[in-house]
Amino acid sequence: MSHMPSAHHDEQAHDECVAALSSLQEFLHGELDENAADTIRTHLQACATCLDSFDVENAISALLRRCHPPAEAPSTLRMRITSIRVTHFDG
Amino acid sequence: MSLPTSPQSADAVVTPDQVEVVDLDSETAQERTARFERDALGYLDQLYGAALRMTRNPSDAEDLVQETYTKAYASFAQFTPGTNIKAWLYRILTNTYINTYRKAQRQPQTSGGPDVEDWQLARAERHSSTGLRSAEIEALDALPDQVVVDALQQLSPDFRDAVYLADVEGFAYKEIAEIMGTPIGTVMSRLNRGRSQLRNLLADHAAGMGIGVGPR
Repeated sequence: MSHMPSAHHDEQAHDECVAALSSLQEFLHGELDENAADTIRTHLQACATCLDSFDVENAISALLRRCHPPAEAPSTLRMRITSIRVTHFDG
Repeated sequence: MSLPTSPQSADAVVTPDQVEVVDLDSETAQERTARFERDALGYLDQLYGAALRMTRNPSDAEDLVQETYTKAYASFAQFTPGTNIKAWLYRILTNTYINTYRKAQRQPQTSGGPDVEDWQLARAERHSSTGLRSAEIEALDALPDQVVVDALQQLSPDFRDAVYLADVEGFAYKEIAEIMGTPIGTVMSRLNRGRSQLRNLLADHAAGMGIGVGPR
């Protein structure tokens, strides 16, 4: 006989998923305390759907960093800013 | 993919200078200028990058950064030495941008109405059948940089800035709250909604390019 989760079990699992997904960004950004982070880790190890979500969100964070490499201010701007200070200083 | 043993750390957060005693009363103008140059100028490239992303125009970005440094220099005597100068500079940059450029742009706030609670977003996401899944991570990685940059720009400025500060700049939520002048709960809400919208936009792009994301 195939496994048929009870309605109650379904609901409980659903609540756990909602809780995990609600704090997924905080988890990803290292903002949760260790207890809260452990709760999420435990859930992600048990729930493939939420683990998928985590993997995708993690990939999006990496993608954002990849697509926004460090910029370099133009040397003319650097000179203008230096001259601001010189102007203030002399004045 | 295995789970990290500890969550990704905000490693870009710069610790303030070693405890340094600055006697603001006796500090000369020359000393203050030297201190400004030493502590604030090192963030020029990063501030320019942020300004470029806010204004989307190199010339406006230069003006914005110049104005930021002018204001920072003028109020440097009020800055408490040893506190977070990077966040302080970003705050000035953000405020300057809001007061000059964003007013002129009159950008409408898009989507994610204030009546939608974060848990409802999470619930919707759980039942979403069109979102990205692990199998599509390769498709994400294949997206051209410009597509991702454009997708981030499509978010409303508050959402976009929160995501940029957290994911690209690596600021802690507390610092983002300081920079944006909002409670930390607002930062979290902007991040959740911003990332949710971004994920949908990227899924659409991936689908448009014929990769991944079919009905399942």
